[in-house]
Amino acid sequence: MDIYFWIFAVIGVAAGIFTISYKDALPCALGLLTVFMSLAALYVHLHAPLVAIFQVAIYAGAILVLVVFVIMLLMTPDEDQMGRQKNIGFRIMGFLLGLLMMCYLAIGVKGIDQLVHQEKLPKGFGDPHVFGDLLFRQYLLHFEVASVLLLVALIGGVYLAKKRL
Amino acid sequence: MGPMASLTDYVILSSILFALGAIGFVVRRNALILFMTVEMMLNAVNLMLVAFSKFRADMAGQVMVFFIYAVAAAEVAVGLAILIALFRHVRSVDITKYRLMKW
Amino acid sequence: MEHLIFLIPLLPLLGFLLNGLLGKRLGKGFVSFVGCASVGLAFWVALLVVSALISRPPEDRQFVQHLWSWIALGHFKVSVSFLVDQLSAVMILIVTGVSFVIHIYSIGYMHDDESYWRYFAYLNMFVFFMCMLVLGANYLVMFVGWEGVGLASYLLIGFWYQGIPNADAGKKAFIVNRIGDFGFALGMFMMFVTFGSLSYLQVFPKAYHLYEAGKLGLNNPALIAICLLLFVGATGKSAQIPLYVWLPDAMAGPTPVSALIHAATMVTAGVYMVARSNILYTLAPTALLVVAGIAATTALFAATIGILQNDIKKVLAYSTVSQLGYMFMGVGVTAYWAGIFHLMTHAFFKACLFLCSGSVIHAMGGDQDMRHMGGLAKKMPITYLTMLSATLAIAGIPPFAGFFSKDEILWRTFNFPFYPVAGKIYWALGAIGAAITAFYMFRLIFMTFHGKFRGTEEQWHHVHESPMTMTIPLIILGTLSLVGGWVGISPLLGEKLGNVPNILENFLDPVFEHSAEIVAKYGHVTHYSHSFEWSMMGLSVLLALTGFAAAFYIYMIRPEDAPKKLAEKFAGVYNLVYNKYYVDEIYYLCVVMPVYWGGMFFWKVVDAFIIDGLGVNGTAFLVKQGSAVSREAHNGYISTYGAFMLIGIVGILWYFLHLSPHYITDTLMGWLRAAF
Repeated sequence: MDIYFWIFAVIGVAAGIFTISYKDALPCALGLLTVFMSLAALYVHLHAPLVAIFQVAIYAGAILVLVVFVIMLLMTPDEDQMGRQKNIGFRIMGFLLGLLMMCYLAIGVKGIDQLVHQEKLPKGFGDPHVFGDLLFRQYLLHFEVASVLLLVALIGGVYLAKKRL
Repeated sequence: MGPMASLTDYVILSSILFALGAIGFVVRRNALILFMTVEMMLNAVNLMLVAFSKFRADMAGQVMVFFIYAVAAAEVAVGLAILIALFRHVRSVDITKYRLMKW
Repeated sequence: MEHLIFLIPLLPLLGFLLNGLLGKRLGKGFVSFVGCASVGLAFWVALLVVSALISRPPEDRQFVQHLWSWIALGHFKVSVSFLVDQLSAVMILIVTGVSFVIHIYSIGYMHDDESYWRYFAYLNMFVFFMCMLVLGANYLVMFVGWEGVGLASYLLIGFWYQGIPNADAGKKAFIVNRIGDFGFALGMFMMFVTFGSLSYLQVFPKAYHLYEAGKLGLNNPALIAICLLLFVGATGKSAQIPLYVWLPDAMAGPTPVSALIHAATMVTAGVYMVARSNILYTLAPTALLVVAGIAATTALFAATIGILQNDIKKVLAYSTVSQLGYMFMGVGVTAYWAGIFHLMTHAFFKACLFLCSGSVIHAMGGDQDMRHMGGLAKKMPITYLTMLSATLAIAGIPPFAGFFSKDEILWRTFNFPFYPVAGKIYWALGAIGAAITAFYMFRLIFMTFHGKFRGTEEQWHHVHESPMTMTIPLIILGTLSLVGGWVGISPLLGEKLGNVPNILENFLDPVFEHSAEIVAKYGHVTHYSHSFEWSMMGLSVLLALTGFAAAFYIYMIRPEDAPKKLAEKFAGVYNLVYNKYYVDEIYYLCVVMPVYWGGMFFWKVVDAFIIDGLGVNGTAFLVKQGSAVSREAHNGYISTYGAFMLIGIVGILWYFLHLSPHYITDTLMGWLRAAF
């Protein structure tokens, strides 16, 4: 019984449920933050400290900040002040389907332990220099492509948000 | 440390988070919360990748996670920019107001 | 000389192409020259070929020119080939010769027409197809010509197409012909199925050999079917009952067209066809009975209608139908050469009659009603004399041409080898018809050329003799109406006149010798005494003179009151005959209207409602309704689209994981129990 795992798992799931159900936008953002942080903790447990740092830095530090900023900027009202829902049938169907999907996914992996065996972890697994080595040698092209993608996103974002085009 | 959590546990957790994200995407009306649910789904996938990376002792999983971070950041930036541009016209983040792309 | 055969149809074809493509631009002189020269040259080539044919011994008189293989589909092989034997020789000379004369005539007659070039182009095209018909060595080439002359006939009948009745007449001719052609085509199909070929050189010998070997008896049902189906085509093309109705309407075309096509050549195609297929018909006497029966009936029937017509061309049209009946009677009683003989003499005198009537119509400024004519003989002597010559020929008064041919036919009908009793009946019909023929022809002469002129003053001033281009053909044909019959003098007369041989019969005999053999074997030929034959001959002449006398009495001696009084006395019959026995009306009700209603049904109900309304529009409507329902799925909310994506994901998961609900609930229960 991996106590570490179970604590953060429960926190994550509870925060997730909170995120998708609360009516205000800002508390939902904070719930999302909790999800991010619990996941970061789990990454550490999974011998991936660099990924955990990235998780905190990028997601909690950048993305979430951006989202909160936009929430504050737009002063979105609460959802129950938004008026009647028109496609409630589809939403209910989607909700049920999501539950069904959850069951499928969760139950479908029964028995995966017999298929996937724990390999012996080499020395220095998850260390930054191993990570960097992989990133800048074997996956250099992917890295460059990702940087181009970010450039594109940068230009796109600036262009879209301009007041006068 | 006690016995490690099995892969099954991680996969189930990831599935639950993913499903929560999907449900949230369908149920919520606020566009910003929709963004958040999309991020939750991406995170669930990240978790699955890292878990498998550890269990298979292959660092490639973590590298892939890294790229997903980059893409997610780009996507959020552009998405929120679009949202702001849209907000200037419609004056609302309620997705029920964004009804032009229909029959 | 046989390598020249192909020139006979080719020259008119070239004339057609030249006149059709260039005629409009190059003027009347060019058109006239090309039109007449092409046919004239064709006639000259025909003379060369026929003289080469005659120079051969009688058993060997057959030229075949094979041009190219047209169809080769497995067993079905048809080639474009020409056959010139004695029968084709006679026909081709008649066709090209009379065509040439009529072309010359047309120069004068159509002189003022603005579509001069079109007329000559069509006329040349007609001659081309007629030559194909007559020269073909198999039924399919004949059929090409058959259909082609029908087309030319349509184009020429409706020549002045701006007038609706003219266009309608052309349509009527073509459609009625087509009905006959359908029968002809079926006959050809049956022939191919039965004999495996459509070529004369294969079918006829095969039929004869099968008969000789005893495998083909008389009146084989397949053979009867073939002969009758081919005859259906002949009733259409050669205007017999029931498909004659187009010929009177065809008088809407220019008069030279009526002369050439509807008197001398096209309408004789059916007779030629039966004569060519003589072996098949002789082997199927039942078919002969039908042919002769229809022919005799038509001969009398049409003659009766001709008595009361007032349009000069309509009289001649019904006369043509009637005379065609005589021709078919000839070939129907296995007197094939007699039918062809009458075809020849008829070509001469009927063409002459039509051209003379054209001359009269020209003089009358376009008026064709005989009630407005009278006393024209003084002002149009050449026309009068030639028309009189032709009338004497058609009435069957010796020594003019028609006497010899008609008498031969009547005598042979009386002596019908296979069905003697029927022969007597048909002879009676033909004889009465002959009397009536004489009557209406002389009525025509008396009403047109004698007595007082009944038209207007200015018409009388306009009456003039026609120009030389028109009168010379009249003289040629009028002379032929006198001497043309002298090639077929029957043996009885020939002996009396100093052993004059029957040139035509001797010439044509080899073509029909197999038929003659079968007739001799199976027919019941009664041998009558010479005196009986003389008395029959005398009876023919007497009937003709009776008709003449009756016409003379009614229209010359008492023209004022006799026609009217007779009309009143026999009012019912008069009306019936005057309205052509209402045949056109009956056809309209029984054939045209049902077809029309059928067409309306298929148009309004099947096409417009079922196919368009239910099928096309209905399908579109269903699609529209279906899509109206299903497009509601695109309601613009992305949460809806997300829900649809979830449907897809769940679907894929279900497909690949195949988890039954049972299993899911069990596992969930298991976990819950493990947790608590």
